[in-house]
Amino acid sequence: MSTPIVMLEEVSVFFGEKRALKEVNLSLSMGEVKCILGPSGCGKTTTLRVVAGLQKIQKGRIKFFEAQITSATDEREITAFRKRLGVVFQGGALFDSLTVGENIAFPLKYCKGIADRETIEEKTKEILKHVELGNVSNLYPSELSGGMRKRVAIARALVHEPEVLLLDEPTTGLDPLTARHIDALIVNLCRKFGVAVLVVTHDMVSALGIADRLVLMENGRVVWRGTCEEWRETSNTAVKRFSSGLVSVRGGELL
Amino acid sequence: MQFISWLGHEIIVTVESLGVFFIIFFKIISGLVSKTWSLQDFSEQMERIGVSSVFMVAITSAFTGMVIAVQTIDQFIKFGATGYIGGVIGLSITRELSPVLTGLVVSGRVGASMAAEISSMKVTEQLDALKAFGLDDVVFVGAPRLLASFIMLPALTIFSDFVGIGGAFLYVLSHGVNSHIFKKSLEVLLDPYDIWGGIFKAAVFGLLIATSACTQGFRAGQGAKGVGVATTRAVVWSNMLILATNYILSSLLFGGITG
Repeated sequence: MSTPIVMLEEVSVFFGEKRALKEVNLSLSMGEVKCILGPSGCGKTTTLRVVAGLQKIQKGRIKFFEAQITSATDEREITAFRKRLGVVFQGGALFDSLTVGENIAFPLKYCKGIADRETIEEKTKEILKHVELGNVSNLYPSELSGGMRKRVAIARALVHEPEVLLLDEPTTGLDPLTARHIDALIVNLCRKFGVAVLVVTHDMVSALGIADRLVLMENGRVVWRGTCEEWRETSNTAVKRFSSGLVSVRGGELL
Repeated sequence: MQFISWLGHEIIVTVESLGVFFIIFFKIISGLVSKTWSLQDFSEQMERIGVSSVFMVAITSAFTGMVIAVQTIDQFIKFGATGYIGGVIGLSITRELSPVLTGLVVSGRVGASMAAEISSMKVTEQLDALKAFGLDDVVFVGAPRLLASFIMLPALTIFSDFVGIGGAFLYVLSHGVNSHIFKKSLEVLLDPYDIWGGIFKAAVFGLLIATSACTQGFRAGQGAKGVGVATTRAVVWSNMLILATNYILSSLLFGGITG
């Protein structure tokens, strides 16, 4: 694997008194698909938001390509790096008032500064083809199914050719078949565009299907990291507990 | 003790909200020149604030004009002062009623929906999506709304002036007052300064409505409750600010003339 392009070093995040992330270390290399697994509230999404520059950190530092982000870094400096990222939010976060075409054109206009209408239309059509969506440009997000919305969100996140793609629970709320289609799409697009991908999920089937490396989080800490092979073979109790789903299954008592 | 605690909490919340109000206002103003906002959104907001409010403003103004005529005409006739009716009605409409009522109508109609829209954008992570594209969400969402509100409130107020005076004129005519006397009275008593003063106040109210809606929208809590609370607060805040600012502006603009 090549040298990391994103590195979190001893990153801590506090929400008031509560520490959401505790000295988290994480790296992401070009062309790598990394999945962060963990139960709800363990800090997965906060980690993703930290990488996206949407969550300020209180301790530690983030290396993003050649730059370093710390708790003292100005918001305007972070803004410049955000344009090198593509983010797919849990609910898609498509702009309701814009059509699918306008949603996809959005980053082309505002991240890439493309004003030419023909170029925008061409790129929009091309990326919609990549995510296997036909003629939906004139539809509004409210007219799409859950799976289609996820695809449009992925298309929007990739259209401005980012170097890093961040996905928050891309398969949540989808039926198993659509979820696997989304998984295949993520892997194929990652290969095609050569981007580094960081996926946050609690869908183990999805994670084991798409990831090069896995990270397991519990209570704001990284408790395990390794490949999918190592995941299957490890005797680590946290991994076993998460993968067997033994928490809260015995007579309603937490084990 | 409980009352003092509640009062203290309310004072802190109000002062904090005012602080955020001014921070957001100045952030949007400074971002207006950056052009990192959508002209398409701006034209949509102009339509939403202006065109969509015309009917309600017309109804409010026409009836208000007529009610003032109802309340004043008998007194003026009694004192033989029919020559002043047009001017007095014109003054009260252009200086006070048009800008204030237009502000309150737009605040209830558009300010509420602006706050609801922004807070639901927050809840559904659309504001985060804007940030993720390297945009300033406050400027991108706030600038078109503030500018549209600043332009459309005066436009609606001019329209309201015409409709309000027109409504009063029709009522007065139906009660046998000569139309020439009404018009002459308007010409004599109504100065362009009065009309401009009202328009200026409307522009300020436009800024207050948009900034209140943005402030409450961006500060909204999570879920449907957060959206509901933000919407209510936006209307309460902008209405209170309109009424308080109206007093200050009226004292500054017209206090020297009348007083």
